[in-house]
Parts: sequence; structure tokens; C-alpha cells
Amino acid sequence: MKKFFWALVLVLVAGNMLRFVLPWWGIVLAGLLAGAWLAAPRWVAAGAFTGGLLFWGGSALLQDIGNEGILSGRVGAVFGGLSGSQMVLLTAVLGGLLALLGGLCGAYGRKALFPAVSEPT
Amino acid sequence: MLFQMRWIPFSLSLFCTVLALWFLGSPQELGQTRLPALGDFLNPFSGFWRNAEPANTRAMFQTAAPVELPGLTGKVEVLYDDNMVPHIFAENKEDAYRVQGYVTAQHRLWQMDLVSRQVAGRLSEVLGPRTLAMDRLVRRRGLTRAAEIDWEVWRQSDETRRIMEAYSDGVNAWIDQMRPADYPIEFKLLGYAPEHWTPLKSAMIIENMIDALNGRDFDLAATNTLALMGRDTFDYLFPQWFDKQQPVVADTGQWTPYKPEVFASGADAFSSIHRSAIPERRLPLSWQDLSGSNNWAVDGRKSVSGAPMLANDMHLPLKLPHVWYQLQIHTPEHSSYGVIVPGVPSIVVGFNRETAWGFTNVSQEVADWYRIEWVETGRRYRLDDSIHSAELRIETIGVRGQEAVVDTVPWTVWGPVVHDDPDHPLAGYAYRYTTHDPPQKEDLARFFRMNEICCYEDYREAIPGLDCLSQNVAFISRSGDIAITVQGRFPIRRYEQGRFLQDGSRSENAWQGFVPQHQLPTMKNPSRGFVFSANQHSTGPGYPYYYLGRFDASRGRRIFQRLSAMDRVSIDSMKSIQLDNYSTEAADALPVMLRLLDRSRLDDKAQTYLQTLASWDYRFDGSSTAPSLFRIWLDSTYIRTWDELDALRSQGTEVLYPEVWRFTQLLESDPESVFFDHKETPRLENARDIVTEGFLQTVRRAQGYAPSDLEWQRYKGLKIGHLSRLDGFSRLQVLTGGDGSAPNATKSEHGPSWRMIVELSEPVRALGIYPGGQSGNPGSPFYDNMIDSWASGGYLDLLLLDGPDATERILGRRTFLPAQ
Repeated sequence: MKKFFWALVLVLVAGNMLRFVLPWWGIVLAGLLAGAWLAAPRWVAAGAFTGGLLFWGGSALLQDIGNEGILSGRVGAVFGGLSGSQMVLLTAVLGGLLALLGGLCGAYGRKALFPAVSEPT
Repeated sequence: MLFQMRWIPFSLSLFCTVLALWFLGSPQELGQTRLPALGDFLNPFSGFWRNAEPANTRAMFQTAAPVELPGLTGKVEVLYDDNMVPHIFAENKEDAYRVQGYVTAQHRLWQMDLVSRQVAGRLSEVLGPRTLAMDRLVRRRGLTRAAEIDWEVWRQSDETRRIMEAYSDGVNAWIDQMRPADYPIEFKLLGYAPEHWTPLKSAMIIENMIDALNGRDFDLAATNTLALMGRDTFDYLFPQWFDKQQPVVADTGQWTPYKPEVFASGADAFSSIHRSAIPERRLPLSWQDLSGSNNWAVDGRKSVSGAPMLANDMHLPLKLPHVWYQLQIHTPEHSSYGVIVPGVPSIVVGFNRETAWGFTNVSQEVADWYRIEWVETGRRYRLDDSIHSAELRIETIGVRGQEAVVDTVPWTVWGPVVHDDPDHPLAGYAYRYTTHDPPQKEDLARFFRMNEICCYEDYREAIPGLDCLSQNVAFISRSGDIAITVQGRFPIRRYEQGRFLQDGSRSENAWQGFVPQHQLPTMKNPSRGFVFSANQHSTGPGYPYYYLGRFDASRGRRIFQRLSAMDRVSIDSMKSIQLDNYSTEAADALPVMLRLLDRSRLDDKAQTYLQTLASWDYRFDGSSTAPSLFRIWLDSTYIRTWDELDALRSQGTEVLYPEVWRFTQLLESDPESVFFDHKETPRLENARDIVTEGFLQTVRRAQGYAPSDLEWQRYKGLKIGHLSRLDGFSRLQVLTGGDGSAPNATKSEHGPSWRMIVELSEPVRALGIYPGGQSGNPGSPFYDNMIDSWASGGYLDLLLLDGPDATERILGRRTFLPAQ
């Protein structure tokens, strides 16, 4: 359970540092770091996903609110009739998925490379 | 070893991750849509979310630091008013234009990039093979070369060079401070980065303006039609003068001293038909969106305030980002306000404290086609008694995702060979277009000085700088002068020369020269107290030079009628003319059609529609149903009449269609004419039959609409589309009245792109509005904020500020300092 929150926090912190130096896939790397550190694939998956969701979704939401939804509605229309809120959701889910995938790679990678060191979940 | 259990989950996750990275990291084609790399695009820190501007603009300005701009010689302050219009206060002109480049790029960079690429034939570099045909055509029509030659000549003027380079440097200063996260959203969507601006790109945009306004000709259609119909029928259907119109400059006996050259007799028009294997899919010519405009000026005797007044509304395709951009330029010497074309320095239409000026299109044709007698196709040709070699211009067109395409364009002494497809009816013909000729080196400097004019003499000195941009330029000055000039480079032609395709093997078929400046029609302070233009005929039939071109036959008549009837013109009266939905075209045609209609063939339902039409006041008001019924009826009747022409068009022969005003005359004066017979039916119809059939068809069509959808504003359905054609960034179904035949010339994708009224009282009063917003960013609250107000006939007060200390209606300011 603790690992869930640690995964979440690590993704948020690493994501927020990496975003200044890396493009969009920095969030995958943040998940990877969390996964490699915590090595508990299921908790890492859940925690990283939530962290990525909050990180990308939160940032999108803040910008959307400040903009009063002008742009998200228009871009949503370009994306086949989605609403502005759905664009926020899409961004959030994408962030979550990317962090999750990175987290799984990190966690399973650590377990595969260092099976003796990994703690039981 | 890899197949040990512990590697499997890792391999799977790694595989999924790599797959996701690949899918989200590259652009995808999903059916018709091209999606950008989604990872980049949706990333809240660098993707489209970054273009979501805070709605609280005031707060944004408060945190803005001064900008250090290389090349600036003094401090420049820019005040932004509550409509996001920048007011630039500079110590000298060059600094002002440098900052103009910066602030325009800040709001409209993608638009500037796209439009300059259009004329450069470089769309395919970023959009791929789908724009290859467009790029080839613009280059083969010689526009790219024309812009290159323009800049080669203009740069020889010191003043021009300094202004163009300062502007360009300003744009580049903006570009250089952007990171990819700051790029306009269209760059992100389409997946390319902005490149540096150059004065040549400004020249490209100027060429785009010229071609959009003056590039039309109907020579092929006219030649085919003459060959098919014979002279008598051709003249009967296509007279070149309509006597109900008032020309821009009336005949007052002023032409007597004009002695044009005596022309040698020349070759007759070609009596041959040019068929295309590619059937034309455009609408009949009468409906094509010709860009026109209205302007008029009223002198102090006629105005309530005693001060002269000017109105201008330019009719252009309505797009987003909007074609115009408002700004004010203030230096110690001059202060002017108006609209600019993004990408070009200076102010195009506007006013200062002493004068105001405005443009409408001159509808004269300035391009002709010449058949070349090839000795070796595309290489050597005969002219008089000698053989000439064509100059070969190699056009290399970059295509994204593919190898560059190389196109060889032969340039003859007449001009380029535009069409090399042997199936095209103009294959092998040379294109002679006024814009191909080099300008005078001071032209652009003069054009830039338009916004500094103080008096009539300045106006007359500046307007030749328009060169081949043919415009009716209206003018007022505080001292009380009003004037209008038909300004442009008009080829001197024999009677009907250039109306048809010509023989390019005889040099005697060349243009005899250009109408000299002092013989261009002009009018100053007429006794009637006003001047006006609405793309009607430039002059009466007495003018010694041949007028070739179409002309508007409806709007100008209404404007003339309204201005003649007024003797105390106010700003409200000027507004009421710009917004006037009354159509003289409808007022001419409807009574004739009602008289011809055989009412015995109408049932009760049809009678109700008839009642609506019979009680119509000829105004294309948005909430009214009668305008829609009228348009459907007129269209149906017209299309049924010209079925012979339709048949020709569907076989690939481009032909002329009679103007609506001529059609109305025929209905009235020659109802038994053979043209009204519908070829597909065995009986012989006349006008009465065709009009009645048309009405019955109108009733059937109208019944297919819900009553609210028959309201003119919905039936017409104005769409203001984004330049990328994405509906999501467009404004669909803008509800507003008006019609191409009324002074309020709003159509379904075209209309008054800028409505301006100026009164040179003390202080200057000016109103203006355009259907769009100052910002080109769909994420900005200023993207389309003026559309609704424009649609309901609103106007905004334009601010001609005195100094950078103003506070009323000011959202914020930005300071520019010389770079250390």
C-alpha cells in the first residue's frame, strides 16, 4: 500500500523535474524510475498511473480553467467531436498510461535483472 | 535464458512501451485525417495546452518585462486596447515598423507563414503532395517570379529597403525568442517549425493581395462563346455597358483633351473552340465570388457636422485568422490608424488626423492569353518573322515526405506558358499579366507613405505607388477636399482586344502601352457633394480608352440612390448604407418575374409562397424568408434558361453566362426569345413557362426545408472558415443578413471584411469592425470576439491615441528597448 503512494509521489516529483529537460516521454522515464526504485509491479502500476493522471491531467486542467475552456473545445472538435473536458480527460489518461508503462518496465526490469534484491510485494 | 519466467513480464512491458512511444511519437494517418504526433501534441507542457491563453489578459500584461529588440534606436511603447489592437508609439518610422513586425508576428505568425508560402509555391514543403498542383500553378502563372522581381527593384530604394528590413527583423526577433512549446498551434498540428522572415516574403504577400483582387480573366470562355454563338448573338447576350449604373467617374466632357494613340488594325479574335478534357466544376460565372467593395466620401456641405466623411468596406473571402489586422502607428511626425495585411509593413486602409482613404477593386481585366506558334514545343516559337527561344525557368518544388519535383516553365516574350497538360484548352498559351512587369523602385515607398498623407497633393503623389494593384481610391482631407481615382496599371488596348484569346505570333497584338497617370479617371470635389465606388464601370462610354472587364450592376446603384437623397449625412446614415440589405437586382427582377408568372398553375401552398414574395421589400434581411425564395426562384429560372450553356460546360467547354442584369432585361423585353426554350422538352417554352416552372420548382424545394431553415440567414449560412479548413477552428453558420447584390454584400463565405467610417471632425471620430479577432490563436479570447457584433451590425469606436499615457480602454502595455 505504501508503495502505491510512493509510486504516485515519485512520478509527480520526477515528472515535474524531467519536464524541463525532456519532451513528452519524460513521463515514461519518471514511471521507469519509480518502478525501478520500488520494484512492486502492481502497486507501481496503480501508483504511477494515478501519478501520471494527476500530473498531466492537473496541468491540463489548470490551463483549461485559466483559458475558460476556449481552446480545449475547439481542439476537441478537431479530434472528432470531443468536448473540452474530454480533452482534459484524454490528456490525463494518456499521462497515466505512459507513466504506467514506464513503471511496469522499471519494476519488471528490476525484478528480471536483480531477482535476489527485489523484495516480495 | 531470456525465456526464463522473470523475463517475460519485462519483455512484454518493454514491447508495449516501445509500441506506445512509436505510435505517440510519430504523426498518424487515420483515414482522411492527419493527426500530429500525439505525445507531443497532448503534452501539457509543450503541446497544444500551452496555446490556451489565460483569459485574464490584464494580469498577463502586468507581468510582462520590457523587450530588448536588436536594431531599435529608441524606446517604443505599445499600448493594447480592449480589443487587443496595438498602438505603437515610436520616436521614428523605422523603430515603429520594426515593432510592427514583432507585434504582428506575435498574433499572426502562422497566417503570415502560410500566405507567403502560397505565392512562393512552397506549401507542399510542409503539407505534402496534396498541395503540389497549387504550388505548380502559382509558379507557372509567374507570381513567384513577380514577387522576386518586385523585391529586386524595390530594395534599390533606400527608404523601402530600411523599412522592409526593419519589419523583417522585428518578425524574426519574435520568432527567435520562441521555444517549440510557444509555437502557434497550427505549426504543432501540421508538424513543422516556423522559419525566419525575409523582405521577399513580404513581397510574396503583396503579390497575393494583387492576384486575389485583380487576377481574374474570362478570355477562354468569351472566345468559346463567340465562336459557338456568332457575333450577333454574342453581342446580344453580352453587352459591355449597362445604362442603369453610375460610373465611378462620370463623363463631364473632361475626356476631350485625351488623345490615345491611333491603333493599327489588328487580327480578329480567334474563331475556334477550345475544349477541355477536364470538365469545369465551378459555378456559372454570374455566381462566382468576385472580390469587390464599397467606398464613398461625403464633403462637409453634405454632412451634419460640417466635416468630410469617408466609408469603406472591403469584400473579401472571410476566414480565420482574419485577413486584416488593426493597429496604430504614432511617431512625432504622424499618427495613423487602420488595417494592415499581416506580413507587410505600413497601413493599407485607414486614417490619420488630417485625412482618410479607402479602396475598392477596379474590375478591369489586366491579364491576357496569347497563342504561341511553337516551332519546337516549349522551346522555340515564331514571332513575326523570326524564331525566338523561350527562357526556361526551373522551379524546384519541395514535397514533404517525397523527392522534390522539378518543373520547367518556358517564358516567352509575352509571359509564361502556364498549362503544359496537353488536355488543357490553354495548353501552350502564354500568359501576359501586368504584375509580371517590374515595378518602379519608388513604388513601395510611396505606398508606405499613404498613411502619412496630409492633403490632396500628398494623396495624388502616393497612389501611383499602388502600381498594378488596381483600386478605386477614395479620399477626404480635413481641409475639405474629397476625391476618388481609378488607380492602376491598365493596358491600352484596341476595342475588344484582350476580351478574347489572341494570336501571339504577331507583335502588333501586344498592349499599346499603359494609360498614363494623368489620364486615369479621377474626380475631385464634385458639385453633387459625394464620390463613391462599388466596383461598377470606371467611366461612362465617352472615355477614350477601352474598358475590359465585368462590373457590379447592383450595389453601386443603391449607394448612389441613398447618397443622392441625403443632405445631412451623419455617422448613423453612413452605417445605414453599409448595412443596407436592399437589392436593386431583386427590385429589377422580381416584378418582371411576378408579371410573367402563370398564377393559374399554382395550388394553395404555392399561393402562400407567392404572397410572401409579392409583399417583399427587396431587403435581404436575415430573419426574412422571402429572400431565400427569391434566390431559389431566380436560380431555378436562370439555370433552366441557360441549359444549352450547361450542356457545353459538362462537355468540357468553358463558356460565358449572361449577367443577371442582362437576364432580367431579356425576361422583360424579349420573353419569346428562343433562349427560353428548354431543349430537353418537346414543346417550345417561352419566358412565362420558364418562370412558372422555376416557381413550381421553388415551391417543391422550399417545402423540403423546416420553416426556420428557410430564413435567409440560415439558408445562406455564412461560414467563416479557418485557413487550415478545420471546422473545429472555424465559425460555422454565422447568422447575418445581406447579399452580394446589396450594399451589405455578405454572402456565404465572402463579405465585408472591414467596415470603417471616418469623420474628420475635431477630434477625429472613427468606427470600424471586422468579423474576426486580432489574435490568430484559437486559444485566445480575441480569436473571434468581433464576429457576433459584426453580424448584428455593430461597430467599435476606433482609438487614435495621442500618447502612450492613455489609460481608458487600455488592457496593458509592453515596452521595447534598444538591445544593450
